Amino acid sequence: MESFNSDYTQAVGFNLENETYGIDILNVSEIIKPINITFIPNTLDFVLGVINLRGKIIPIVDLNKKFFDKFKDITQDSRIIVVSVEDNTVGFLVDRIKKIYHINNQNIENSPETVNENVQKYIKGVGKLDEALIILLDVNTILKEGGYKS
Amino acid sequence: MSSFNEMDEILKDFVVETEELLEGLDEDLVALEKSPTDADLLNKVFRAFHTIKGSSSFLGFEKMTELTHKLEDLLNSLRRFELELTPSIMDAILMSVDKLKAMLEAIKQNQSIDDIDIEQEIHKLLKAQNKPSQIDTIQKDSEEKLIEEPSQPQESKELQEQVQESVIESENDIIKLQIEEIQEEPVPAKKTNLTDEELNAEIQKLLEQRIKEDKERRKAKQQNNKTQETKDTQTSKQSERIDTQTLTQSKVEEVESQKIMSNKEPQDKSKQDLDKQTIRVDVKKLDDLMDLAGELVLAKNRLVRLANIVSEQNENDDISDSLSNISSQITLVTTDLQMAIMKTRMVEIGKVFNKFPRVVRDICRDLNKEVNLVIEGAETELDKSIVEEINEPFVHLIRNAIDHGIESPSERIQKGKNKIGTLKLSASQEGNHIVISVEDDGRGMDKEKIKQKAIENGIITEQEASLMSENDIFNLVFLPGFSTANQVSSISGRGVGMDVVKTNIEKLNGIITITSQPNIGTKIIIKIPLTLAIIQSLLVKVAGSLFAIPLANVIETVRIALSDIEHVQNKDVLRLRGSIVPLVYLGDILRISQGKKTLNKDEIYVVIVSSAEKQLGLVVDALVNQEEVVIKPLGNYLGKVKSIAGATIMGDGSVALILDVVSIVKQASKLSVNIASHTADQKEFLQNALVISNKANLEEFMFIKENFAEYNILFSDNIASLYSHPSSIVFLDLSMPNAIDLINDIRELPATKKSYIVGLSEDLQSDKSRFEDTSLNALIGLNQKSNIENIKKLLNKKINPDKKGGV
Repeated sequence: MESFNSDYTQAVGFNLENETYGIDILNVSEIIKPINITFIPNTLDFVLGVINLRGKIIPIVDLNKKFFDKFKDITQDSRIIVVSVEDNTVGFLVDRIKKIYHINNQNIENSPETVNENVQKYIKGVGKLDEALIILLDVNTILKEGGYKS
Repeated sequence: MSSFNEMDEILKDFVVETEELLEGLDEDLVALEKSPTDADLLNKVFRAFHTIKGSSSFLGFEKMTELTHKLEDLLNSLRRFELELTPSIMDAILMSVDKLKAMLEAIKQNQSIDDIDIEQEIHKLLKAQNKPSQIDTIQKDSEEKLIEEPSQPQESKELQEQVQESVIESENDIIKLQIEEIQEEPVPAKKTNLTDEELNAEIQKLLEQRIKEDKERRKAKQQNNKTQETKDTQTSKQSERIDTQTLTQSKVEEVESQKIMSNKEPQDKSKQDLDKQTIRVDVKKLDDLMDLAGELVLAKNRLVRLANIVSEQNENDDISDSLSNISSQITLVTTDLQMAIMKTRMVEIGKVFNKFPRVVRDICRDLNKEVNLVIEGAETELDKSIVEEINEPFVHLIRNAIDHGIESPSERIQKGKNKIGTLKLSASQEGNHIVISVEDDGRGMDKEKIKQKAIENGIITEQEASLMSENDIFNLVFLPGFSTANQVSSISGRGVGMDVVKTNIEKLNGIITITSQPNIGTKIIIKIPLTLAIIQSLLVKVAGSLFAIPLANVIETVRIALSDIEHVQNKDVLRLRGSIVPLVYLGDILRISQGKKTLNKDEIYVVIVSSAEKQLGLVVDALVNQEEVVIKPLGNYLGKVKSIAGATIMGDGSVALILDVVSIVKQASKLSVNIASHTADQKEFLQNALVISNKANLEEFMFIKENFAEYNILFSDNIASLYSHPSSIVFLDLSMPNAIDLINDIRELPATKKSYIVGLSEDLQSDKSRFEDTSLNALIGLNQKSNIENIKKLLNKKINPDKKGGV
């Protein structure tokens, strides 16, 4: 796998708070429209609840709430990105899906210090593209943190 | 790459097989102690050691080989009757078996066994062998025996050993070793020094013996069937199973005659299920199958729901009829399929029970007590995952029974009891549950002593103690650190045991009850569900959300009024047939009901649940249904969520959460919200009104404000506002897509059951027929504002006649 086109990172681009973020496409299993979410008590407040995805129970995390402590209404454009790392599957609620970006690995830099501290720890790097900057998220860290109250 | 995997496979098989052998050994060795001259048993034990020796040397576990080799030597002397089996020899053997177990455990964990010290065991084994007591007489005895019954079993055993030895030692073929399924699988015939004729005669003899035995066994099983049939309907399925078993047995017999002849093993009376055709399947595969069956159950639930809707809409319609037929047929098939898959995961509880003779023996030797262990219902089956969990609690219960329950032989004689105590372990199936009990005929539990200890330890006050029922007192022993023993022994007294029992049984959603009578004995009954994957549940609603309570934990449901609730230290309790049950609102435990007033003071539904020994009354808004649900985990991300055991998918595709009754019962005592705070205040109720509409512009509803100015009117786009704003009038925008559901939801809420629901309609004509069957009280046409005066009059009458209406 690694040897195949390892010069490029492919990322699913999406919007949060008017900025473009990206998740490595290898971690994304699918993108769905928001469906009925069942609230789960005793979880952290950015966990909106769980959904039934073809018979599987998947927790939904509101990335706006997690990163910026802000609840946003679900709109026509809202999407859930279903992310999977090993046995851990979570859906991220985002404002809007943009497109798949191909980023030359040489154009990926460490995240700038100016980024919100709360978000900083989840950033793998920043991809420089002609049209914009794309903040690449480290999905593993987010998933490992979990959504339960300790 | 592949050879590495193969090696892994072999190792896995080795671990599984050796584990089984060692488990069997415990049982056989204890039996052997009781009948030390049983040649069959001796041979069986010898073979087990031999097999372990063979496979461990093949895999290079030298220490294991060394130890088993010594054991084999000792057994060889025993079985040639050169040595008498004394308790101390047995101790040495058992000690070595324990060491073997420890080594196997290390192998399982991928640790090296080279560091495990076996010097002591080997020393003991050698000592046992070198100092045979009264060797002469024994030898004479055995020689006589040998002459009396010409060495038939002995000889065939040797033949078989040779066969096995040659398999193990001469064959390096990997597959052979895997197939070499100890006693259960026929060993391929090898060249022996017997002539063909001798061999045939030998086989013929064995075969006759076997057929005779089979007949007897079948007879016994049939008798078993008869007694079981009378028990209950559940067991009738079991007896069917037994029938098919005997059937396969006789079939096997037919086929046996020629093909398997040359491979035939000598008879062994302790191997009951020798002929059962089995294959070993990875549990993961069964889990997957179970998951798929779960999916099917969910799909079935949806189909049933759909069929119901269709048949409601089109009565006497051919298509809806056949849809109903299909759905009921699929229901039947899925239920059967699910049962069948569940059965494949089932193992006999004997797998656990068989370990206990050894446990009992060891404890008895330690305490100088004599106990006769009686095991009943060892063939009762339950889910593999549960079987693994119940071992530990039962070890504790057995220890307690022998240490605290059963008296010393001298005390028993003094009391006029049989010198030998009886400990009865029994298991049986009751519907979807397995009931297991541990019963001793000892001194019984001393209520006064328990009370006293509890007071001494500050667990209860004297006053509380005087109010406690017998059951409550017995249940005190489950508290961590509680022990009535004055001395801590290696066996019990630290007060950990019963806590372990409770925790483990709780984990399995089980229920424990204790009954005890002084000097007659103590009986501990444990009831656990058959399986953990698919459960019967009671669906309840709280603040608009659906929750499933495992039916295994539900004792009963009751309907009470607010006035029935009593208070103890400002906490709500309910007096239920003499016992006092604490009451909490489920919404408060889940922390989803702050400021919500969904209850009706005249009509409160309580689900009495039980976890292990504790009971609790959960107040809910509504009881919805009883349904079979499939537990789905919430996933790693959410980990273990407090109060929630998992989720399930309902027939309509929505998700309902399954409650973790154990954790709920634990949290209940910390709660300080009274149920009364969730009932709607009469005055508030009569003053409140709610308008539900999802329209962005509420301009066209402003007439309500003008016409019903005396009400405290709230505008909302969802029903949730009703929870904190209980209203006697609800204006509902009928253009909302789920208007009919909303009406039902309002009616389902106890607080608003009798609210006056007014439909706001854009098209009076069509809405009149659309909502004809609903419990809508009145309609207002939005265009002509019709009917307002009528409604006002009606409401006045309804609400004000003598200040009694409404809720």
